[in-house]
Amino acid sequence: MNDFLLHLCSYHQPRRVRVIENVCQNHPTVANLFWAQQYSLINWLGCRRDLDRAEFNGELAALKKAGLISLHDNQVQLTAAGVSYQEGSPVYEPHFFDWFWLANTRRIEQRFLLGIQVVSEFAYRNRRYVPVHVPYSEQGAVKAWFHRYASVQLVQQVARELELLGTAFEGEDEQLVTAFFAGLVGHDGSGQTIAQLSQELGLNIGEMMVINHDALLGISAFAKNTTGPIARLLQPLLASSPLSTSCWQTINMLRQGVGLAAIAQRRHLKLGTIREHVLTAAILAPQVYQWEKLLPSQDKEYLKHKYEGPVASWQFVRWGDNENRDFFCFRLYQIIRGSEENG
Amino acid sequence: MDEKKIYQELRQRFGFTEFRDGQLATIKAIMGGHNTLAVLPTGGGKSLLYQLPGYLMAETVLVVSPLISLMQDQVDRLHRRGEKGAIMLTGQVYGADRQRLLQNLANYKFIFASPELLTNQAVVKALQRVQISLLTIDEAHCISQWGPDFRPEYLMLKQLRQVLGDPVTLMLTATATPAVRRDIIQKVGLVGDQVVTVKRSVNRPNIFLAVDQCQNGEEKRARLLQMVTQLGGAGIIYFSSRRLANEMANWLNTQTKIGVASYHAGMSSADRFRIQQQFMNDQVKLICATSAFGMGIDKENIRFVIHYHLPDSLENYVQEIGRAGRDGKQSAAVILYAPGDEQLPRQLLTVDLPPADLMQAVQRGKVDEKALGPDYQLFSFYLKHHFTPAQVELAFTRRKKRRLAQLQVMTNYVQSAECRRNFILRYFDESATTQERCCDHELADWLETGILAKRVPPSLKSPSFDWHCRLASLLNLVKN
Ligand SMILES: [Zn+2]
Repeated sequence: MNDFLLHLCSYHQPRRVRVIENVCQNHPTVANLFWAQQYSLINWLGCRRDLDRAEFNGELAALKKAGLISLHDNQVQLTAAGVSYQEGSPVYEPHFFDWFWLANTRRIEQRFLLGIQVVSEFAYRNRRYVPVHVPYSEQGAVKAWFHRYASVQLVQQVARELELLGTAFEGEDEQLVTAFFAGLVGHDGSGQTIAQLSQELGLNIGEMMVINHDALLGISAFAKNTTGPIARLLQPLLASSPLSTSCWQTINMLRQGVGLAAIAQRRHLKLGTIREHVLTAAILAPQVYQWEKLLPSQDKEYLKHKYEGPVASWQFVRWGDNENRDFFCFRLYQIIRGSEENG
Repeated sequence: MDEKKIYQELRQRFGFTEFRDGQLATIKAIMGGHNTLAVLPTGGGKSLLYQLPGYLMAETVLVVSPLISLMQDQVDRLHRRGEKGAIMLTGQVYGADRQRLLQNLANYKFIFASPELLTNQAVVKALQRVQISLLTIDEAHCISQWGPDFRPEYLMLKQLRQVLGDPVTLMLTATATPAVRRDIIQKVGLVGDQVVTVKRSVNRPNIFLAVDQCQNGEEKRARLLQMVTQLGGAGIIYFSSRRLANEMANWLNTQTKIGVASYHAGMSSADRFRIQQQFMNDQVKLICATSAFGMGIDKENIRFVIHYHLPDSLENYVQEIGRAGRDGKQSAAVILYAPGDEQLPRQLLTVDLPPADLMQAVQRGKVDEKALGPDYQLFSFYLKHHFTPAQVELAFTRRKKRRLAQLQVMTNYVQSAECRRNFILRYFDESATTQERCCDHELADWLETGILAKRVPPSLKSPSFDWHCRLASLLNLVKN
């Protein structure tokens, strides 16, 4: 049984199954982000990008069968047995999950594995080998990188960087550094799979998946903060902020005092898109703007009287003649109160 | 074409001095400009059949293949030989990447493509610009509705062939009944007497055939454990689901010291790559797979193939056991059977037909094709090609009937008191044979008498992992 999904469930809070699935695969719609924030799962976004619906349902079914979770009305909740299971088995604490937005870890993994493999084969002067299977785009990126930087020094430089990375990982967790180095593909071996590592380290396969994702975010963070060959390989895959460029443009105009409708007009975008930018930013980067300013005082008063208690229980009911506008105000107010709830 | 030249290429490029049975006849037919249907048993070295002529011809070889895993395997094989001019054109490459790839297509000697991509106009245009000197249709039986693996996209190949200017065409299959052979030629748009057929027996004399009758699932498990601890060498065990493949691999790892790993489409591509390489290098001895695995695995010394569940057709069974004994040495194929096992594939064959109004809505583009359920691609193909919902229903009823009949053949094989080898030969319309070490009907205590060498207990576990050592070996560093 793969216990990965237990990490995303809570004993105290029933959670929407589809939101959890979307968090794993990283579908950052406003609704998903809102609920992910309510569940304190924002930094788990994109933790299992390969997960498909059948696999997800299969894992949930197995956990339910084992009595560790309960499922009602498309919501999932940890059972008492689930809590004691977690207390009784080693749970890995991620160290790099705050960097969840930094990169698509699947692409990082593919590019990094192939890059290191190419350098390893180069170190052995071997040209006849099967490259690790990665998409065409990653093959091209690695090829270009290698042709540009291949030299006697490259092997030494990569060795030094891996040594640094290894020392940093070792400082965080012994298992992290083991998983990282045992999984690398090279001339000396094709590395160990998640399943093999989990057996070797005596961990559940779900735990291994957490460690693997953590290592990939760690590599990404390393690439962000260095300038050597690994950075040059991976930097094109790194995001500069949790918000997209387009989202930033909206926020910057907002800061200059431009209203939402005017932003939409100037940027030739739908008002709905601009509102999504605002809501996304209010969740992922709450500090970049005073969001309350976007709520007309009349609406704010109304919302204050109408909605009390935990924001997760609020039901939207329109009050004016424009449902989209009302919903925007409702969601924004909900996000603001919600972030106060979460401290 | 000069036979000398062919042999020279074989020696210089591939390092062999002799052809396997059927290879030379096929290559000579292709080089003579004939469309060729090659029905050669798995393990017959089919990649050579298009690679060698490919090198002798000036232009590009296009290989159509039904599965990405199959293509990947062929590309890996070429890479291992140092050939870099091989590329895969699949649905996994899209957008700007695909455009770039299509522009550079002329740089490749071997282009592997999935059939659904060959219905794409941009792809076809790009292929037209490249001179295709040999069109290879891998697993050609997929074009036949009479076979168990019918892929509707394969029906588009007839048109593709015309658009590419009727290049010499090689149709490859390992198992095809006479009806399927006729069907292949017709569906590719050829006429029987214009096609050279090179056919060799499906019989693989070095594979011992057995069925192990068990009372229930528990006995099957115990029997499997007994087999894998006794039978020496590398093996593949086929399961009906990913979950079982995973579970049994874990279980076998706790029960034995043999390296066991699961392998299926649910794993990351990096992990699949790792297992393939470890299996090739004998670090992993046993693979627990779903049937999608090893459609073309390139390992010569697989000693046995065990089916933990009933395969869905004799065609597929013969293909899957064909992974064993490619080096010609004694090998074995075993089915573990408990009463009622035929119910599982029967359930898997039950494809739910979507309601007619839903199909219509999809056809009009009002509803996403995924609403058609887990088999949406199949339905979608027919709808895209202007089948009415009633016609789709008819096609599927027929298909289901055929597949149930194929499953019945498989059940008969398992329960038959007849020599298993002759059962298979009769099904493929070949004449009966007798041989030593044939099947469990002649040699009931085959496991005990040691058809295969006994497993040598593996040596002690490797020392504990040290990341500094791995780093040094990874980059060939001199340790100080
Ligand atoms: Zn026999």
